[in-house]
Amino acid sequence: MPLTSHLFASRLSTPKFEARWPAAVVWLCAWALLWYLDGELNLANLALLLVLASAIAGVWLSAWASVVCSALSVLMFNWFFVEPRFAFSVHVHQDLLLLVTMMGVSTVVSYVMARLRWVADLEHQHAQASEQLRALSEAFGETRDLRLQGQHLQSALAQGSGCEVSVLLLEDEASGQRQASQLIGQPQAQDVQGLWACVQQFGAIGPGTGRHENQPTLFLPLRGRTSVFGAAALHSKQPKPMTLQQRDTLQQVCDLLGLEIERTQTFRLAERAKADAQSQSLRNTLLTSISHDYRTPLANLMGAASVIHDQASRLSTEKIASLAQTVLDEAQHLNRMTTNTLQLARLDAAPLQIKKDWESLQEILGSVLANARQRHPQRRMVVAVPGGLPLIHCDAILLVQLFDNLIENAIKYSPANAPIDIQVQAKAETLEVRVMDQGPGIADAWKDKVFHAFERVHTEAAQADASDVTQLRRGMGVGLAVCKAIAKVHGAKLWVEDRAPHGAVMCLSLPVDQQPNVMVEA
Amino acid sequence: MALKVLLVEDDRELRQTLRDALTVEGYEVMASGSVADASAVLRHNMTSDTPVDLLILDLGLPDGDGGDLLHTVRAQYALPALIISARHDDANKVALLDAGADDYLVKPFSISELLARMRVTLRHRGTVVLAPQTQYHCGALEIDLAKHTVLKAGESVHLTPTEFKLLARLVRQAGQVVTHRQLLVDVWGAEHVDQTHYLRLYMGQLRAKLEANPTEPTLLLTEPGVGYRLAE
Repeated sequence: MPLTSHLFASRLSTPKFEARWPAAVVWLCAWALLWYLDGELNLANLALLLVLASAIAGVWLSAWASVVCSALSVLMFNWFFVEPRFAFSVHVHQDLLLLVTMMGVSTVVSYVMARLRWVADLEHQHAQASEQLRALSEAFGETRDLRLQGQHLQSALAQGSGCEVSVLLLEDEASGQRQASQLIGQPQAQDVQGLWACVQQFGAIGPGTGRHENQPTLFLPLRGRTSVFGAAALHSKQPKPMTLQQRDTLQQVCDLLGLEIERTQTFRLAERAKADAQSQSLRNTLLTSISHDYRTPLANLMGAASVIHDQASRLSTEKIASLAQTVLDEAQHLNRMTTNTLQLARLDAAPLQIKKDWESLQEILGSVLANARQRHPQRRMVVAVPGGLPLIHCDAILLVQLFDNLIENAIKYSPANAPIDIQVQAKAETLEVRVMDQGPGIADAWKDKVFHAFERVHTEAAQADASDVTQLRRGMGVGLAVCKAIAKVHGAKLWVEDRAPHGAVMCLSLPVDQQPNVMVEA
Repeated sequence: MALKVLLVEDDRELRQTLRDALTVEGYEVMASGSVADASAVLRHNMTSDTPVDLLILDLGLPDGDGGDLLHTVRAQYALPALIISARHDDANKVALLDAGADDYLVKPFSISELLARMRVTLRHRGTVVLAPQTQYHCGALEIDLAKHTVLKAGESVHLTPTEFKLLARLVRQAGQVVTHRQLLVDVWGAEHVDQTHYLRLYMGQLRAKLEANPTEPTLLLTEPGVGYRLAE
């Protein structure tokens, strides 16, 4: 990374020798013209020519050089052109006026020009310096490695100051260990002390800083907006002290890294806070689940079981059987919710740790349907799966859970006598599975929300019937949320559509990967 | 004489419930709550005149993993074992099936499921030593491995050699789950152990030939993430 000495160059400006030749040319031309016009014009007019030349030459000369040139010209003019020629006898009044005029004009011109040059120069240097600071800042930004950033700083400072540089960097403040630090370079023991002192005092130490003026090493802090993130020690080899400007520039370079480190830390803190907030929100979701969704089936379970326990002798066999069925149903319901909740937590914590393999969608749906039919022997399910579907690369257990939830929801949210339709279609590069019910459907406002944990759909129709509301409340939230999470880890899309005349369609679009090679025998 | 079952389960309630239920069904039940205790019971019992006939093993035990006990049992006795596990031990469960457990049940399960699995496991008891099952009959399907015939509703079905090998492997353990790994190793060979896609395709072909509705099979059942089971 080039950081040239421009940054630190002296800002006093004198035109370079190469830049002065136009002045010489101007003077030569003026003299040539004077010789040529000698005798043609009178002395006063020739003198004006001289004033003109002096003014123009002033553009390229410093003020002093202009004055000297002008004085010389006046003398030469006097010697060659003023009668009596080749002698310095002067008509004091006339020549003095000429001399003063020429000197005045050329001095003013030179001064103005010098001033202009100085300003332009300064601007150029500023531009260059900020360009280099920008490049340095980019170099800092390119890496997250603190050590590498420190090395960039070290080389930049060394180049800029000609000093031996060592850098102290403090590790992440957020880790709570302010002691953790890195040293770059080989500082002497007392320099290490100086570096720490510089960090602790939040300010520069050393010659020209007003603190510990007599010691040879200059310590500069790496300042951020709110804190100090390290320090740099510049161990000077020459006794010549730095100018204020040089030190300012070096401090700017140090602060650049300070700000960069602060920015990185702020960013990291924000990330961490975001992750914390996310896991907090999941925890809240799970707590909501346990406190509400679990209590209802548990209450039913306890009610039924306690009736059997306390009153068995006074109950008919049928009544006991029906209570036992309630216990079984509720237990199964709790099992499903637990599985879903745990899966949601697992997928949220480690979405990448799933075990994918080549699976047949037909098989997966087959085993889901077998379970669903066992649970709901009375329910009609119409299944259309074409043969010869491509294999999908997925976690079979997760997809079973997904379809199981979709079918269970469809069953729960539609009238008992209406069939559930399950269809699979092969599209270009995807397999689309649709689970369709003939229930009330899902309002547009809820089409996204149903997939968010623990939000439930309340339709007007359902609210009319208290038992339906109870039905609606049960298990939907986590079920669809886990479906969404499973779809996400498979790069699949899951959404709701309307069904005519009424009902909901849950659509899952699974990506189909490049199929593995299999030698098929006849 | 009653069949002897060793039930290893650390949860006292579940252990008691299962013990009662199995006793009602006519089994002689010994129950144990830890690896150490179960090992002692086995040491004492397997050399007696009436050895244990079946081991029902929970995976998470207080003093060790049920899997370790299974390995010891497998190494020392010809004792069929049925794994009962909570869902989070999925991977462990498959590993144990591969290591020689006879079947598994995921908690929570109903007592009727447990009894059905126990019956199948006991029927296959000693398949290692005795001649394995070579005939199968279920629904419209009749298979005779020795005669190399497969009949569907009385009609002969043509199977490719690999299809037949796959079917035969399932028939030998009819009613029990056979893991993907076991099927791949036994039918295709150890070098194909990761190529589950072979299994998917050939199972698909078998179902197309043997099942009335390949999408909802009644004979060649899928155990997602574990393997396949030929219904009984």
